[in-house]
Amino acid sequence: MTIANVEQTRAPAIFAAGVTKRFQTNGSTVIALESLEISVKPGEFLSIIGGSGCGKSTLLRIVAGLERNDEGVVTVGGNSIQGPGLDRGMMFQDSRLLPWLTVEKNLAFALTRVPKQDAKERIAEAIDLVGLKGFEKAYPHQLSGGMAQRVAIARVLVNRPKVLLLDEPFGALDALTKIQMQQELLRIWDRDRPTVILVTHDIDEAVFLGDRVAIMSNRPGTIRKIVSVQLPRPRDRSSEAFVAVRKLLYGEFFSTANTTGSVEYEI
Amino acid sequence: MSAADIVVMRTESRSKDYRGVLFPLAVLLAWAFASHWHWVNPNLLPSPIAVVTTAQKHLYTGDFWLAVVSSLGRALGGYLIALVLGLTLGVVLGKSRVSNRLGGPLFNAFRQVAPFAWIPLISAWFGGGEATKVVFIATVAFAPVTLNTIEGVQAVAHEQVELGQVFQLSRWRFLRAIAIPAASPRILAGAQLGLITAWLATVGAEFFLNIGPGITMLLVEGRMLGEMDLVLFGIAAIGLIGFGLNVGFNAIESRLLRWRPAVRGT
Repeated sequence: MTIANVEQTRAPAIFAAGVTKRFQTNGSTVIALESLEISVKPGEFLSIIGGSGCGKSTLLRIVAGLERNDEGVVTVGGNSIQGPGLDRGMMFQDSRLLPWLTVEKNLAFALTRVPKQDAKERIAEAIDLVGLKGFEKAYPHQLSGGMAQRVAIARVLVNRPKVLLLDEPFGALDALTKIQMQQELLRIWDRDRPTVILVTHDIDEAVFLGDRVAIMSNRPGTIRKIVSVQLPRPRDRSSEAFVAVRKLLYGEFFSTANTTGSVEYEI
Repeated sequence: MSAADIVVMRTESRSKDYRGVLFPLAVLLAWAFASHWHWVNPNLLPSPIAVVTTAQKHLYTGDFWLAVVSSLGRALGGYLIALVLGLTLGVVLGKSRVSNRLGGPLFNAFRQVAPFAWIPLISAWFGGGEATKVVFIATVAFAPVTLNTIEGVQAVAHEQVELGQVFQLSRWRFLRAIAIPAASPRILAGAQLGLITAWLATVGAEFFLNIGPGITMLLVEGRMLGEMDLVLFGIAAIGLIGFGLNVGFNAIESRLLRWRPAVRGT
């Protein structure tokens, strides 16, 4: 392997530096993000936790191309972002299924640049992957919240994006369904190894899923700490090590000391 | 949960409520008793039996059915014109800001004009015959179709627009997969209102321009002859046809909007 190759594999899948985003509301300026820096390795699962209104969704929306940063650099796969693209799959907190399309067609409409026969196979595969076989012809109103989110996951996956951007995808689900969905997500991640950024306000979820957990500070939003979670997978939520990481994050999250930095904790 | 549960959910919404029939039946009964005991002047309010007898007489004549077909024909003709123009104008006014600025005030002013005010103008332009009636019906039914189409096409949620961006939909695909279906409940509501209005306008047009066969002739004839049983039969026929049009429309609508959870009553 040449040095250039080594460099390439080390190049971040997602890179952000000096990212600032301001919003105008009623004449006053709100700074949603300020000088934010983050780097995500290819195939890495990064969890970002932060309180509501800290700008974590804004960061995700910038990476998705739905929002533009006012200052700073954001790159995906080394290229700066020019609007949304199929290389990035964005999943929202609400499933955003189109109520007038069946499960199957909700996936089909997302597949824009694929030949028909290929599309059929991909849809069947995605439906199978999220365990919704037999529900292809169901309309969204006939599904439970968990099932709707499964369809949303499947819809993101049909385009086989290299990057998954998940904006509190399980925030509206009940505790049991949530755990089930987290396991499914890990299974899917393990299979294709996309780069994932998961935004959540659930510390438990962040630790269970992430290779690293970034803590965002409130107003203006910036990354305060990054904790590397070096626990073997599958992770046991009741294990001592898991609880220790969670405790550390709780401490960081609610610490009054407002020190900013990217100190990496290793456990 | 299995696929079988979906079937159950679907059939649950099919149960119908027949209570709406009870009140009309009670009124009918009261009417029958009032006539039977001569509490009312039969010249002003004939008995239900007299009305039924008149109905029977007319139902077997070709004239009656010619009248029905003529009225339905002009109603649907005018409605179709209103539908085409209303949908087109509604999409244009709803989607293009410039044309909304230009055409919006004029359309709103047009809506404020009482329908019958158009009759002198329309009959001057289109003569006293069939064309005038159809144009009048179209003029009246056009407003609700247009108005609801404007609001329908503006109702596409921001979240759904974003979805189109995220999945890189082409303009055409966005229109077909998101914009049109999102607008369809409102547009169909307008189309239904337009159909009801078209039928009402048909009766109005036939009253004011009573040339040629039409269901309203029963009323005109009945009034001139002083036969209230004929008038009542005419009213019943007009009402039943209107009801039938509505039922037919509902059937089409619920087929088109079958993706919606069943929350609508009968």
